Amino acid sequence: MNKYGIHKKNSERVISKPNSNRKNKKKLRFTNMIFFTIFELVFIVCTFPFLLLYGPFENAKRTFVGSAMGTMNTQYLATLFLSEEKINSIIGKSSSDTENETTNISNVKISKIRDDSIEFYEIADNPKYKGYYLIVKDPTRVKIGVSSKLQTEGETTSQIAKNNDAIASVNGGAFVDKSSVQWTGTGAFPDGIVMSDGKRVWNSLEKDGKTDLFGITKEGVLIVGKYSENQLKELGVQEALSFGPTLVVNGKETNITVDGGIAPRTAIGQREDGAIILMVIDGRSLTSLGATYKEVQEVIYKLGAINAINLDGGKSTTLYYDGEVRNTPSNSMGERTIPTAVIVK
Amino acid sequence: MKKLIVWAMLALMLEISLLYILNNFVFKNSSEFNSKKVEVKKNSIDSINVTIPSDTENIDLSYEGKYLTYFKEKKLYIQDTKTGKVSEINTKENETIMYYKWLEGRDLIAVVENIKKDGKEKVQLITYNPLSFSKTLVKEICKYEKNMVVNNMTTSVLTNVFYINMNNGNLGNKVYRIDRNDELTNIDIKASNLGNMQVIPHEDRLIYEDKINDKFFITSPNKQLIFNSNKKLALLGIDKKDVIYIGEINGDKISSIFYGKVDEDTSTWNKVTLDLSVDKKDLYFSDESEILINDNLKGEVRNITTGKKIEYEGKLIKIKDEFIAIMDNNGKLVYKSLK
Repeated sequence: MNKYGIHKKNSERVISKPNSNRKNKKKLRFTNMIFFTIFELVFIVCTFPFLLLYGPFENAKRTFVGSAMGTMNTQYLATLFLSEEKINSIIGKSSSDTENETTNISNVKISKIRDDSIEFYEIADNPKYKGYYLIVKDPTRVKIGVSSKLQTEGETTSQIAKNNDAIASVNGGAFVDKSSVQWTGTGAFPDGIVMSDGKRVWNSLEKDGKTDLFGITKEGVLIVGKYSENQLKELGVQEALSFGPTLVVNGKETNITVDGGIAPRTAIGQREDGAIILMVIDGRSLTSLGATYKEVQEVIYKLGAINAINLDGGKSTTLYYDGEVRNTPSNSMGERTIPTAVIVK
Repeated sequence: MKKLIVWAMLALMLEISLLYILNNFVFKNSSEFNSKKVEVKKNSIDSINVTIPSDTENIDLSYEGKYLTYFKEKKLYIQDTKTGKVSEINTKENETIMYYKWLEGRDLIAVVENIKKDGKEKVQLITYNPLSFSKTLVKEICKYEKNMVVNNMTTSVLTNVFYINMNNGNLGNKVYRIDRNDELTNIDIKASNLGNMQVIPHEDRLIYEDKINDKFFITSPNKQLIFNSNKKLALLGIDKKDVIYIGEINGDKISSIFYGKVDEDTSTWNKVTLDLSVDKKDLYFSDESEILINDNLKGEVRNITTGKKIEYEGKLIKIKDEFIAIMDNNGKLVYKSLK
C-alpha cells in the first residue's frame, strides 16, 4: 500500500533535488543582487558628498554649494558637510570687498534725439539655458515700479507694469519675507535702497550705508556699484534698486567672487549709446537649467553692456512685454509676487 | 571581501564618471548664444466673440476674462475669448482631469489629474499655461484609488500654497498642502465630515468647517472659531483682504452673514441680514470686502454694500471683481463692467 506512496516520495525527492538546487542558486543570486544594490547605494550615499565636496571637481563643487546656498531651504545640503569658512572659500563672500569701482557717468553717450523703439530678442542656441532680452533705446523710459500695496502684499511683475501703464517690465530688487509660516511671505517688503521718480521709497540700511545697486540719473545714465542714498541724490539719480553682484563696470567685466550656482537670472545693463538691456534667463526646467553669475556677465557683456548688474533671480525671474509674460517663470504659480520691478514707460 | 572591494571600486568609478561629466560638460561655463529677434504678434481684435456650446459643465473664466474654460464629455476645453480659438488640455498619456481652478491674477490653471505612470495610477497637481499650451508638473500627490474625487482646492497666489481636499469614499477626507518649494504635507483635519475650506490670502492659515458638528476651525495654530448663533452655519468664502464670510442657513438658503477677520474676536464680527434668503452660489465677496448678490429671476446683480445694481439678460456665468460674465439668450458670452 505504501509502495506507491514511497515510490512517489522517492521520485519526488529525486526530481526535487536539482530543482531545489536551482531554486537555491536563484535565491542566492537574488539575495546577492539585493545585497549588491544595497551596498552600492549605501556606499554611494556615504562617499558621494565627500567626493563632490572634497574632490578635484571644482566646477561641480562650486555649482553645487552655490546652488544650495542660493535658496534658504536647501542651505543644509552644504552646511551639513562644510564649515562656514570652507563654504565661503568655495563660493566667495557675498560682498566683493576688493572691488568698489563705480560707474563713470561720462562714458555713456546718450543721443539727444530720442528713439522710443524697443526691440525684443530671444537668447537661443545655448545648450544650458534659454533667455530673452529687451533693448530699450531711450533709457529715460526705464523706471522703478513698486507694488501698490507695499508692506501689505507684493504684486506680480506684470501687475506692477499694468498699474503703471508700462509696456514692459522685469522683476527687480531684493526683498525680505516676514511670515509666521516658513516660505509663505507675500513679497511685501523690499530690502536695501529703492528710489522711484526721484523719491526714496525704501532704505533699510544704516545711515550712509552702502549696498550693491543700480540707479538711473535724470539724463538716463545707468550707474552700478556700491552707493549710499546720499551719493545717489548728489548724482541726481531718479530710480534705484538694490541687488548684485555688479557684472560690468566702465566697460570691464568685474571679478565675480561669489558663486550662486545655476539658477534663473535677471539682469540690467546699458550700452555705450545709452540703450538699456533688460535680460532674463530661464532655469530649473528640462529645457533651460539656468545660468551662473559668470555666464550672465558674459552674455550681457557680449550684448554690449558697459555697465551691468545682476538682479533678483530664481522663482522671481519674469519678463513681461506687450501684454504677456514672455519667459517661463520657475515658480509653481507662475509669476511670484514681489515688491519692486523695473518698468518701461 | 574581494567582492566588496570590486563593488566599491565599481561604485567609485560610477561616481567619478558622473562627476566628470557634470564638471566638464553640465557645469562648464558656457556663454555661446545667438540672438533671435522676436516680432510680437499684436492681437487686433478687441471685442469678445464666443458662443458657448451646449452640454458644457463647470464653466469658468480666467481672472481678466481672457480665457473661458469648460468641461464637455469629460474633457477640459479652453477658449480664447477674443479670437474664439478653442484648445483642449492634452491628455496624451490618458490623464483624466479630476479638478481645475484658475489661479488669481495670472493666466494659469491649476489642475489635479489622474495619470498612469510606470504601471501605477497616481494623482498629481500640474499647472497649465494656455498661452504656450504647456503643462508643468508641480507635485505628485498620492496613489489613485477607486472612486477618488477632489472635493475642493483653495489657493493663495500671495503665499504660494495649494490646499487640496481629496475624498475616496471609505477612507474619508484628506487635505494636502503644497508650498512654494513644492513640498507636500498632510494637514491634520479636526473635522469628521469636512465641508468647505478656504485659505487666508495673506497668511498661510486654512479655515474649514465640520459639516456634521457645525464647527469651524483654523490652522497654524489650530483654533476653533465659535459663533453666537442658534442656526446652522456655513463657510461661504473669504475675500482678498482676508475677511471671512459665514452664513446662517434658513432651509437650504442663506439668510444672514457674519463677516470679520480671523484675529478679531468672533463676537465683534459684523452681521448683515439679507432681505431675501439666497443660494450660496449667488453670493460674491469683492476685493473691497463688498457683498454682491445675483438674482437670476430678476436678472440683476446687486451690490448690497453700495446699493449699486447691474441688470442683465440671459444666464449669469460668473461674478468677477471688475465685471460679470453672462451667457445671453443666443448662447453668446457677454461681459458687463461692474465699475
